[in-house]
Amino acid sequence: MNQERLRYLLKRAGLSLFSLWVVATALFFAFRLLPGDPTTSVIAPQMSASARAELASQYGLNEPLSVQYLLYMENLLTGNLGVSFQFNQPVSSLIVPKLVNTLALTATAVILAYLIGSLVGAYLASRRDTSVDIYGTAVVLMMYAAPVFWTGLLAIMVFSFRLDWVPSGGIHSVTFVADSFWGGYLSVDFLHHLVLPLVVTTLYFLSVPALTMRNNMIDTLDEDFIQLSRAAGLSDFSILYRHAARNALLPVLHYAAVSLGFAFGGSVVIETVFSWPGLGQMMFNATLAQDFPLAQSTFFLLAAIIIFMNFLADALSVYVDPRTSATE
Amino acid sequence: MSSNTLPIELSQTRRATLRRYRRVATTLLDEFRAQRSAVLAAGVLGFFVFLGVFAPLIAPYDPTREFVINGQAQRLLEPSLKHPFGTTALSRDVFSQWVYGSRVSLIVGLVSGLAVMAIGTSVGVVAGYYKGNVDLVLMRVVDTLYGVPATPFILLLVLFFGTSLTNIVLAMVFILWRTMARVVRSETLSLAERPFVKAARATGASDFRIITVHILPNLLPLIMIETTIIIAFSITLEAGISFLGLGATDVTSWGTMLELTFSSGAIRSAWWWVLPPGISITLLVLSFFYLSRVVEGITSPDSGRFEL
Repeated sequence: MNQERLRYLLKRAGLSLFSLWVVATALFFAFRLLPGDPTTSVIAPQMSASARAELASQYGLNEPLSVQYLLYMENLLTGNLGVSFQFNQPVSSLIVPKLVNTLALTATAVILAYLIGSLVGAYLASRRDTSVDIYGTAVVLMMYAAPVFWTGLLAIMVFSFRLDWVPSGGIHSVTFVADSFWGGYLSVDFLHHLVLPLVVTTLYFLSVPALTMRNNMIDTLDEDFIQLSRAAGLSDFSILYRHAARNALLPVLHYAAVSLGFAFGGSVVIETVFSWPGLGQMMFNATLAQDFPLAQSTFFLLAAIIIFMNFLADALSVYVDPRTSATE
Repeated sequence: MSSNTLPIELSQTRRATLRRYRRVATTLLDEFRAQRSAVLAAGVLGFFVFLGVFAPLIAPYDPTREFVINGQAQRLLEPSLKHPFGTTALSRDVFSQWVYGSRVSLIVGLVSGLAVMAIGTSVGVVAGYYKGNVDLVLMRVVDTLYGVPATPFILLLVLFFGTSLTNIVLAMVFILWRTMARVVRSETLSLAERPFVKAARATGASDFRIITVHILPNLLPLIMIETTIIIAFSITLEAGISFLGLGATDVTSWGTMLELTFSSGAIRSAWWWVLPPGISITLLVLSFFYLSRVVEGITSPDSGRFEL
């Protein structure tokens, strides 16, 4: 059994690496075979001719495509992601702080959404087909149907501009000076900026766990062991949260990892609305500024996170539910 | 004698078939009427389709016309009889823009929904039915697409190939067929093991016949549910791309309207400009979610499930 599980995990890991390689290769060709000067994928067009030539040989751009490809892969594996045109700094040093910012907002929102969403879903299922369930489900669906950038706009409109409770964007006040890197995230000023985007994104991500949990609970509540517990005289509360919810939670856990990956892809829109200096915003600005090394690297990083989260979802599923490896 | 009975028999079977069809149709219609939310959803969708189709007749002004009175640009006017939804920061009529915007969302949803349905179903059925190496290769493609972040991917493609509605829809279809292919494949895998498929194979039915006559009709509910969800998803996705300022430049969409409210700073005051596009996207997407539930309700009446 354990060996079967391990084989399944190794297979999924291999497939994830394969996907990662395909994405990297696709990016290489997309940025190099485009019409126009191929050197722009590594070298800023506004540099002097001699500087360009020097960099071109450093990046091997005078070599044939196959050699360039090997160099590209080597650079990617060693974390040498090139130099940003806009900031004239190594891409890797630019990315790390943005990654932390995105995690602070997105990961927190997804975790909160799954905690609250599962409870909401379980509750709706227990009140199945009553008006609580019907209208509750409608509200949950509405939160999913409303574009998150629009609810963000509304929230800014009301809570920042009308009521002036929270700032309309950014991560710190202009006057704020952090005493250390992590100190910046533990400050009241940061929390004050975090509240609005966190609430809006949490409500947006809440729908998937709530509906998944509701579906699973409805299925679970029909099963024999629940009927048995009911016959044994257990209380409704105990049946619902101690017996049924535990079983219904397994697939929700799987979706949590998938959602987190998905949320990274969606961070572009959310971070634009709230001027949140994260990976998504950086990817978007780099794309607009035609800063190819930065755009390429952030895109690859987002893809890598998603692929890893999908793998994690599979791994979690076999760990909590051994049947998964057998049925795949 | 025999030349006389044959047409009678035929017409009898035909009448029986017709009767059966009518029975199916009335059951479907009854089922549909029984779900109040479904009727409401169909009403909302019908309203927006009406708005889109008759946009030139309903919209009082050209959506790009700038209103100037006595050399004074009519910027950010509150709703009035002349401008039911007020005016934009560029002194354009919000109501007319909103009416025309419905066209973009509907076209985007419909075109990408149908394209994803066609591609995803074909790939899923082929992979699930033939299994082996075909399945292996096709599913690796799907796996890899699952690793691609949708919004950033569309941004890159639009950056390379230009901002037009066609490019946005193409980019969306390129990435969205993955879910369709995966669910159709797994359902096909289980259908292919059912006794009626095995029986068909034993009687010598061709692969094509088994797929079209025995497997596809059984996939139909699943395909319909997935398609409505894809339609809803692509409508929000297009709105998001437009909101980022990379939307179609040739037409007014609800997403581009919202982009302007944000970039012009009008969200400070102009609620009449912010509300209509957002509410409309929400309602339209919601109506597709509820329509997908109708299918779910007919095929598995007591499931009470709600797929996303």
